[in-house]
Parts: sequence; structure tokens; C-alpha cells
Amino acid sequence: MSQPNPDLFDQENLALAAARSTFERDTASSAEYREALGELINCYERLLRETSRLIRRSDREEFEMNQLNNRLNELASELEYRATHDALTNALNRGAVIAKANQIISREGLAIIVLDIDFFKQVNDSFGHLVGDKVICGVVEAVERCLPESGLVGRVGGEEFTVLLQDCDYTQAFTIAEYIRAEIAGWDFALPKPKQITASFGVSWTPAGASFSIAYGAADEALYKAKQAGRNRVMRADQL
Amino acid sequence: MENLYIAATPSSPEVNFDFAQHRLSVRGESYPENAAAFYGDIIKSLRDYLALCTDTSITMDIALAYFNSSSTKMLFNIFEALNDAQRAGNKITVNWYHDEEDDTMLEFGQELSDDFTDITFINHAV
Repeated sequence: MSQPNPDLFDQENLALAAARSTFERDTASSAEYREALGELINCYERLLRETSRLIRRSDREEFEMNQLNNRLNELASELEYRATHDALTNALNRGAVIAKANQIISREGLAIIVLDIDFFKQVNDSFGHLVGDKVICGVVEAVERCLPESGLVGRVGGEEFTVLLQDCDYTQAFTIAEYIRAEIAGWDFALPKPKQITASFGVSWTPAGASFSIAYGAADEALYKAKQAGRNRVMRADQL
Repeated sequence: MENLYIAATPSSPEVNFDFAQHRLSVRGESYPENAAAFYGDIIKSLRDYLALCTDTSITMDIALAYFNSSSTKMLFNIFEALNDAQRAGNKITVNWYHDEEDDTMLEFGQELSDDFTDITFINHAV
């Protein structure tokens, strides 16, 4: 019959109870005391041996678990990065741009610059897609050079990019867009044949609490006007 | 004596003690809610069986992918019982199965082999 409430330490508790009962009998013979002590020693030795094995094993398991956990965290951050960044340029991807913009606009004003590479199809048609990819990467690099620390750039379409600017008013955002325009126009894209790459820009500024799609739509409309007006230029949504 | 079979659950191993064939096995994962309760009766049956054995070759297969600390404490009791049976004149062989990449399990098996010197341990990386 098993005991009603089996315990991991049943054996040790039994040994302890036996030793205690002999200890409390002050009339036992020295042989009886000696025997009780011997049994207690056996049990103690066994407990010591098992405990040290158990701890060694637990330490190893813990160490392995810790290593696996570190690796898991690494993979999780890698996944998060991949889920929010464009694989070609490492700029934010479309989903991340929208999430960031919504985050900013919920608490403060947001300036948006949308830019689109002029005649990009011609670049691809003349030099091939690999060169096209290089141009796209070059544009992101040029944009990043012109951004303040809090500025973010994302690739929202094939050759279309969005810049999000916090702590910027309309005039400052326009000035930054102009910097970027000039940087791209002067950038050496190392094309197989000399050809200037330019981009067109639309800028909008929206107060806190407004909707991102309206803010984006305004900048996009300004970009459209910049294209219509002859490209390689910056247009403000409030001055159309 | 009647054989003992307990089917595996997600947290407890399959226990198959074929006493008639002297072939015993514990396979799976072991982290039962109450390891003392789970293993208590198993160890009792094992001891009852071993007490009846004389000059018998008995094989125990242990293939545990994972066992927690409470189960480890109960495993020590299983090995203690086997070790006693070997000393009583039986021939005990333990097949210790572990994943070939699981060094912790390999080393734990080696430590058991060091502690229970009367039992023949055979290590199997799978």
C-alpha cells in the first residue's frame, strides 16, 4: 500500500524519525545508538550524493536554457527588424512607416515628405534592375544624410519614399526636403553612363490628433503637383 | 506477478514493466504534477518484483527526453532498487537512451553509472 500523501522525502523523513526516536530513548544501549547513527550516516551520505547530482544537472539545464533564451531573444529582435524594414535598403517598410506616423501624430504635430524618383522606369530600362536597385539604395543614403536625429525614412513603394519629421514646422520641413532634393541631384550614383538622377517632393504638416491618411494624402498631392510642374522640385501642400 | 503498464501522458512517461520477460522500460517525458505520487506505486511494484527475482537477468530501458528535478529524485530510488537487486545476485542491465545532442542527459547517465556501480550501464545516443 502506498502512503496516502506520498512525499519526495518520505525516505529521509522515515530515517529522521527513526533516529529521533532512538535519540529520545535515554535507556538505549550504546550498540543501539551506534546502529541508529550508522543508519543516519547512510541516509545522509545518500542525500548528499543525490543532492549534488541534482544540483549539477540543474545547473547544466539552467545554463542551456539560458543560452537558448538568449538565442530566442536574438531571433525575436531579428524577426522584428525584418518585419519592419525594407530588405533592400534597410529603411522602414510601408507598415512600419504607417505605424510610426500614427504613433507620432497621436501626441504631436507631424511633417511628412513624400518623394518619388523621377523617370525611374528609364533607369531600369536603360541599365537593368540591378542598377535600379543601386539607385534606390543611393537615394535612401542621400535622404538619411539630410535628416535630423529624430527623422525617419521609409520605402513605401518601388521608388517612393516617405520621411517623417517630428519637432518640425512647415518651413523647416520644406528646407529639409530642399536639402534632400539637392543631395540626390548632386549624388554620384556611379551609373554605367552619365545620367542625372533627381526626385520630386511633396511636403505636408499636420497637427496632433489628425488622421495620417489625410496628412499623407496632402503630401502626395503636393508631390503630384511637383511632378506636373517639371519634377526635381519640392511643393508644399499648403501652397498648391 | 502481473505486468505493469501505464500509458504516456504529455507530462508523464510510458511505463512498461514486463515482469514475465524481465524487460522493463520508462519512455517519454517526466514532469508529473506530483512525482512522488506518480512514481510511488511504480517503485513499490518494482521492489515487489525484484524481491522475487533470484539469479535473473533483468533489463531496464530508460529513454527520457526530459525529466524534472522531482522525477530525478524518484529515478534515484529506481536505481537504488535495481542496485540492491544486483547485489542480491541478479544481473541488471540499464540501457540509457539520450538524444545524441543532449550532453546533459549523457553526462547524467554517466553519473548514475558512477554512483550505482553494481549495475551494467549501456549508453545509447539516438
